Amino acid sequence: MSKDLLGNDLTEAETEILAAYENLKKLSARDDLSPCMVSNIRFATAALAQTVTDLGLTYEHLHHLGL
Amino acid sequence: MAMSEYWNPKFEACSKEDLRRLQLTKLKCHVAWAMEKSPFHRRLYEGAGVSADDIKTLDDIGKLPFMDRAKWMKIQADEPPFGDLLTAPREQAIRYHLTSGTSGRQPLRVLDSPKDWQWISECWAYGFWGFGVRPHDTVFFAFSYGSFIGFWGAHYCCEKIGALVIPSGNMTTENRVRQIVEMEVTTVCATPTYAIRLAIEAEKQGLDLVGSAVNKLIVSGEPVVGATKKLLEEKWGAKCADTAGMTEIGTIMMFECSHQPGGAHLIEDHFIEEVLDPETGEPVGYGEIGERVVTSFGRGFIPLIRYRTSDLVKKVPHDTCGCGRNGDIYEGGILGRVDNMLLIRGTNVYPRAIEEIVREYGEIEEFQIHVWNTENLVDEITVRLEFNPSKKDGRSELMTTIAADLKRNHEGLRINVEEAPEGALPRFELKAKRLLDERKK
Repeated sequence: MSKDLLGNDLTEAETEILAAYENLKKLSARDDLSPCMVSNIRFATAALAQTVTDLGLTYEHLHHLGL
Repeated sequence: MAMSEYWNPKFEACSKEDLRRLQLTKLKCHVAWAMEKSPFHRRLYEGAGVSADDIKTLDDIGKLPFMDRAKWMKIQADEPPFGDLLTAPREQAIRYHLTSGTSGRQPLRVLDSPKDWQWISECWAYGFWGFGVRPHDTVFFAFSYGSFIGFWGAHYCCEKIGALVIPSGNMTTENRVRQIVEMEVTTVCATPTYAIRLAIEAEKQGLDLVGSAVNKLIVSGEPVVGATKKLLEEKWGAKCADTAGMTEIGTIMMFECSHQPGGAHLIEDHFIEEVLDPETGEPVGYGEIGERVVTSFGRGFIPLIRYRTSDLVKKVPHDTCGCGRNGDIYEGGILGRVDNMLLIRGTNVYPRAIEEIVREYGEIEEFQIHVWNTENLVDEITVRLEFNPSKKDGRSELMTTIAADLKRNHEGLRINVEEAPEGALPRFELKAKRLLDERKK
């Protein structure tokens, strides 16, 4: 089971949020997507990054993804 | 599930110990990031012989050298337009803003990435939610939507919360107050100075703000003293919350919650706020006035670590407020600036203290602090008062009372008081500039 930045087990909701975030990051890194996909996925990733940071699930900068 | 009173209950209501562990983790990561990506920070830290590895406890933050406005301005001038602060190519930015230039110096230029910009609205959301803004609210921004970052982040925060947002960038003051009443606005956002001006305009138009739907007034952009806040709450018939931020961090780092503890909670899961003696740079304790030094974890494009703000604050423990948040409180908000204390014939005079006194008199519509010196270079201070037009009689007596009040609160210092003609003093929409210092240096 994954842990947050303080070493606590993640709740079910946190686990799902983190998984969604990781999926969005993977999508953001792809270079075969149309503009409407790239732009909206990046927007969604930037938004979800706030939630995972607020919850202390991870803390990172995403400039390598253009974010 | 009932809506939480907190925007982020996990870290707004956790133990102080957990909060400090989170801050330490973020600090180490952010310093490493800054050193790796920003030439300015690499030079700064290598010069001081420190790195992220030297940070073992939160107290180790003291090993990191300060950053300040002068350094920032210098690197901007050396390598325009942004200096070598940026951690990524400017093409990755989506927003560009400038400091307001209140102090008359060269404005600082900032850039934000998409994630930074989301974070800016996120911090505002801590504050707006904490003061009771909810999806059913209608929020009016009496703000010009220009290059000054001001309430930009708050606008997006309200969209995030799901409130109805009414921007008013192109409206006159007259139109704004009409819109506020006609659109049944519940929450108004403005600088304290401009919120007073809106209330005065409503009185002129015969609009009843107290009886309107407005129940929350959220002010930012300049310090709000207790008397001004009280005046605002009376004129608007609404609760007034103080918030404070700065362009250098892009957002707010403190907000007043709905419990209104007489100060503002720090958003400590996103910032470290140190309060230091401005002379020695050493930490001061709870209840002592010092300079705030901010470290922000959110803005990736321009890392801000141990930035000396020149803001004077007094930190008190979080449990001074009964809301349960773990964020310590700046009692009375921002108390003034290290660099705007006036020394008049040996007596310290703070513009904020003068405002605190003048605003106790509701008959005064606007004021200005004029500092000058005589032919013999003796410093003089005159407070110019502009009366509300409805105050027809007893002006001279009131000025005598205010002069006595000012003198009593300034160790017997004589502070001149004079009347300014109606409409003579400048009005402000953004940060007020009420200090006119014309002393020969």
